[in-house]
Amino acid sequence: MQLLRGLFLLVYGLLATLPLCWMALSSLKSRDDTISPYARFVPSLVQEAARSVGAPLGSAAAVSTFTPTVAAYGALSSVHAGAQGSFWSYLRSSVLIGVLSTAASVLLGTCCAYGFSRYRIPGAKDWLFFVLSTRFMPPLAVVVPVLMMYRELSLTGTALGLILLYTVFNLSLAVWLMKGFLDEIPRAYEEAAEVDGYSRLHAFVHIILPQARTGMAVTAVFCLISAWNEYGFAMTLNSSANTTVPAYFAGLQGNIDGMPWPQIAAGGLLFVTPIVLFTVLVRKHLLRGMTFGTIKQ
Amino acid sequence: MSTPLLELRAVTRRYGAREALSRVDLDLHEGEILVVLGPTGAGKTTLLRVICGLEAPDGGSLALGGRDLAGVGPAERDVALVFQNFSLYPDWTVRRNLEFPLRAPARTGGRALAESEIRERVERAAATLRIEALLDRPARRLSGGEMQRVAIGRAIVRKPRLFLMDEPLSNLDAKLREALRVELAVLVRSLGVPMIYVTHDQGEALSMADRIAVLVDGRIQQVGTPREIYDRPCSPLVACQLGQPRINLFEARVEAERLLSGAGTSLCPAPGHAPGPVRLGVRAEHLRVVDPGPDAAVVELVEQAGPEQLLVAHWAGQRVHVLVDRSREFHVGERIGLAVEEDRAVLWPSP
Repeated sequence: MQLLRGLFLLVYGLLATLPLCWMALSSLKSRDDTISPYARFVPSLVQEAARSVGAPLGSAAAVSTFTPTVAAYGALSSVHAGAQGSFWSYLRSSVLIGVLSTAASVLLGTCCAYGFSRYRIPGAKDWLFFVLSTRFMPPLAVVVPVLMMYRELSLTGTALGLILLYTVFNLSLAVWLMKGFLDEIPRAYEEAAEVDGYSRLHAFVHIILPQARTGMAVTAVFCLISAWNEYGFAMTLNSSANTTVPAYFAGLQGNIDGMPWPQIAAGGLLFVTPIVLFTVLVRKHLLRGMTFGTIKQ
Repeated sequence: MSTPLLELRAVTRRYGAREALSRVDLDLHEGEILVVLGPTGAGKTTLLRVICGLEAPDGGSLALGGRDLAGVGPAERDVALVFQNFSLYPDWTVRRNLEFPLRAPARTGGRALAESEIRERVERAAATLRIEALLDRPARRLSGGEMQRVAIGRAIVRKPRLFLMDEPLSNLDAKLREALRVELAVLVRSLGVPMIYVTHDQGEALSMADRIAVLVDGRIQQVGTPREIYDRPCSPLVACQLGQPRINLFEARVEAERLLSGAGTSLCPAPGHAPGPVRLGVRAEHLRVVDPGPDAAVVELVEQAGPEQLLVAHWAGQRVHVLVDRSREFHVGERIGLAVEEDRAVLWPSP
């Protein structure tokens, strides 16, 4: 049984990480190796020339090995034709826009959800439905009106423009998620603090927010992933500079030498790493989601 | 009597169309333990929430120490509330939970208490409640009884003007509940801080209270000492709130200076009463077993209740409870005569 389980986990683990592994391997290849009709997945330190002499043409060793190179990572630093900066400057923008819009969404969403959760608001259900209804439409449907508005406000081409946009898009999700989490925290938590001599604000900051950590972590993961991977607006509103990594990859398509696959693989790998790290970091909170709550005697 | 510490005048609280509290008048004096007794949903918790300021009344006024409480937030009222369901912040240690009220800005008048004083007060409270060993444990790892001790500790660690307790023992098992209620009553009396204690448990009410206020359907039905409420309840409704077993109620009528049940059984003499319908309340211990006459009762069940035995019998067209001593043995189906101790029975006008 133990063996079977281990075997299952091994196979599943390989399947699940295969794309990532392939991407990692591709990032170490030369372009020719990436578009070779043979699957070349064994890094070999033997020189290309020696290989072609030593091994008979068409043998398994010859077709499945490749010589690893970090040239693709080096290429990320160069500014390709038609782009304003290197991969690194796009990544910097991605981090800036992703982090700030996520922070803003979670913060505003938490405050808004707290209001819905704790105060009697006339038509609260209708308001919440309205908040949710902003997600009914595919965001790209409004790309043109948004573009026109942003032109008027000179927000095109700025990081602030994308931060605002992603914050607004993620806010409805943040409000709904956080409301669910805040509803789970008993009102008695604040009420006890109030009777003990604290203000409502103090109770919110010092009692409720720490209790809502889990919810905020979950919400932050969703908001960050959504802002991190957004492509349509990043491409349209910020075609020039201050835009995020997805637009960088799009820009590589017009390359005169064909698609630089190793470079795309290297960039893609670097691009998913922060998200994976962030999710792993907050995993403790994600798992804790089920266990928090009141103490009832 | 001195002026009361807390005065409630015609306090009303509505939830939509429903009146949770309806023109409640209540006084609480220094050093007094007032128990508010009532069934679930009577408005007991609402009453406490209005007193501590978590909810504003829709009508009427409250005053604490002569100061009108309208517009005074819970933080400034200087009362301590022990909740029914919540007691502690689960992630914090017991010590941090106990320190929390002492660090409140509203309590210290803007200046913080010295760390040494906080430590001393926490340790004194912990010693009083015998929870010193728990101080550094997270609250989530306490047992129910320990948790409730710490919750009470949170209330006594600062000396508030008033303790409010909302069924603090109701979630504990019976043995622990009895032990803690005695401890709590002794502790609160030694502190000299007045307390309003809300419960649906008549045992708690009778054992702790200086005075009991019976609250049913948002209205104060009667306020008095436990003895007054037990012996002279002002209505059948109040009479039913106290006493185990429940009081025997009869729809009766006075005819020729005798009380007759609806079925025509003669219950007891009623000298000086005008003829007409009345309601009669007789506690189980105020029915005596006599030789069976024409209006005999039939024993339906015999319950051994420790020092006494409880007879459930059919009499005067209804089921009655009779508490008798253990000297005589009764059998199911036995015919017995019953007599009402008329000076202990309570008569109310028929509605």
